[in-house]
Amino acid sequence: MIKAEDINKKYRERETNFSTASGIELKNVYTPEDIKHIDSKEEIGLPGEFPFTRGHHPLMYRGKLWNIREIAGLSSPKAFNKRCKYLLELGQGVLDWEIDGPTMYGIEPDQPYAAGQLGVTGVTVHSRKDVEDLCKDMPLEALSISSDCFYPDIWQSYILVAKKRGIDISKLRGVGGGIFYYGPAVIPSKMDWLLHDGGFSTCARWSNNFMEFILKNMPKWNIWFTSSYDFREAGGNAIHELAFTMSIRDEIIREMQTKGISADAVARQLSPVLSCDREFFEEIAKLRAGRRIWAKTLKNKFNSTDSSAMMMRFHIDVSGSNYTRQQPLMNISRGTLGTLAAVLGGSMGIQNPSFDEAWAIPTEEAVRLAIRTQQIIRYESGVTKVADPLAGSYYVEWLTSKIEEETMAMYNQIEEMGGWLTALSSGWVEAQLTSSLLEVQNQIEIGKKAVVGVNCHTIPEEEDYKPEIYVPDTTDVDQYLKEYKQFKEHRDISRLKNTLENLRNVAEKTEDSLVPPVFEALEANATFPEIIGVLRLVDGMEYDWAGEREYPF
Amino acid sequence: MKKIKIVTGKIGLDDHFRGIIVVSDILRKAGMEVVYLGSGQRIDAVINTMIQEDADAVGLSFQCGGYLEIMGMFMKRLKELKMDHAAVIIGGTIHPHEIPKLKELGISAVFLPGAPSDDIAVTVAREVEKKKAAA
Repeated sequence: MIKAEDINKKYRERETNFSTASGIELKNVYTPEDIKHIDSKEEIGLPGEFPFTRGHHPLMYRGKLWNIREIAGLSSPKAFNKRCKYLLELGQGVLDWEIDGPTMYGIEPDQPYAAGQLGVTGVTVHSRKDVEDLCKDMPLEALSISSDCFYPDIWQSYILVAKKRGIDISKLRGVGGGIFYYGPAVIPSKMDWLLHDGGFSTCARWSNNFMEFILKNMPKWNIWFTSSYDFREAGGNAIHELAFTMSIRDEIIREMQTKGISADAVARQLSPVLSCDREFFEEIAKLRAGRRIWAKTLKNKFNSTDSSAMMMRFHIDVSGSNYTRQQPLMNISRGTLGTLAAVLGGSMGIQNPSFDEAWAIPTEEAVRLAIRTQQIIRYESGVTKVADPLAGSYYVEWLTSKIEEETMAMYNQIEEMGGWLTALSSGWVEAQLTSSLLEVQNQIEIGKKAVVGVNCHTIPEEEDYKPEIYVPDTTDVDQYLKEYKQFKEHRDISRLKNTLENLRNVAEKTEDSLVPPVFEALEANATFPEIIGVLRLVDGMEYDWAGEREYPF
Repeated sequence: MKKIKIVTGKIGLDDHFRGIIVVSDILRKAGMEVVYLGSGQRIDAVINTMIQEDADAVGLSFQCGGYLEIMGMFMKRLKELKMDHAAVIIGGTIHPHEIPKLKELGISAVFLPGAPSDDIAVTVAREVEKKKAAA
């Protein structure tokens, strides 16, 4: 029975939450009074000009649309090579490779700990030969490739594959290498991957050496130096995301300055991955504030004079942790909101999660829908026709400045603590993220933060839509394991041993770069876990993360 | 009455820890003693903590597959180390059709994303009681 009072209540329903997701209190309306402290020329300016509040390029999307970069990774390198080609056929211009757990952790694919996880949440990649299979028939000279893999092994193999094809590596384009600094913030148990005995671990030193290699040899390659998206997924808010990003940038700039590379040369090639959630205006304002903070702090702190360095280049991963298992088709709307915020905030690349991600690894159909969502915004919505269309809005400009102010306060606080690495190793970063996560969860529990289908507008489970679930086909992985065994058996063992021992010597006895001896080991068909294992031994860690394998030599 | 003690964390190569942090907090608020180990743990590290803490239960979370294989190894090791009197509860992005296989391994309860907080706390308490009654 429908009651009149219920109808009245619904008819009169109003907004009751007057703060943003990061806790910024909002007024009813914003007027010129609220932005009179903002110097329009100095602080807002024009797209493509300092301080880049309005975007990275004067023409914005009239000059080049954002890259559609749906993250992908599954199965064996050979099988995944086919999926990459499918994505390129669907209209993606770049590839964003996801690797599986065993590859991320640097363990052998045929050891017990890898069971059931091989090629499941990403492609499994363990040698230079695997990267060669992954890249088969793909024009590396034209492709922009990215991945958030920890260790530089994949990228060094990629470089070797390109060289073998006669490609000049200074022409290679991609985003990768350098995410060691941020990792332990979201995975505190990996602190020893980054820091050892009061300094960098040997693996982190290798990552530093590789960044140096990129900066000196690969001008078109951007260093993926933080997945700040993960700060949000771990519970942080927009302020944490920006402040941590800037603090990590500073730490890397200072480290690279010790190698004789200028701050401008470093910043020109650094690229963070940021997040966009559904809190629409806050996300847009955050991206505008982020570019402004990046530019101003580089100028003020590092005396930057290069506009290319002061322009923050980033891509967006639309938030996936807020996708619900309940009424999963709603996630298409959530993804659309996040994607639209990323576009209005001027992102250079976007990955939008597939709607079924709270259920399983996405199906091909779900991935296609995610790409189509981006294409509807690109080709049907019209929002790409004018650069930074929200500039001048009293609210958006006020919020941009407010986020800048709050970010600067946290960024300065981290600097006063001694910088990112100190804040990280003291546990402060983890505590910030955890308390923020629990606060958000509490708001959901008490109904202050609405999640449609979870704490309001729910339906009985039996009425709910059940998506088709992607089930990994393990035949390709089984075949891969057979080939991997053969590959290992047919190696020149004495050459392999020499290169691994040389790598260990360089790491133990010199301050030299680890990049050249890793190239040699990869050419001698060392597996990634062998290279990582040797470097772990240098720090007195177990050769194998899982404790299942011993150093063979 | 003695507080229920539960060890929580993530085993193996999956670092999506948001769920397990939230669940640990839910259990704490429900009056349980929670020893949260974080992600990236090895099987033996988790079981050794259970032994040292004399835990009544363990709660593990999975978002990246591999749960059948890992839990197979985990349950075997739990028996070897004589901790199989503890209740084993898991949660995460688990395929519903695989829940019966997990139950066959001896896992007491499986939670999927969006499971209500009250339900989680009540189920953990109930499964711990069941295990104690059976001992």
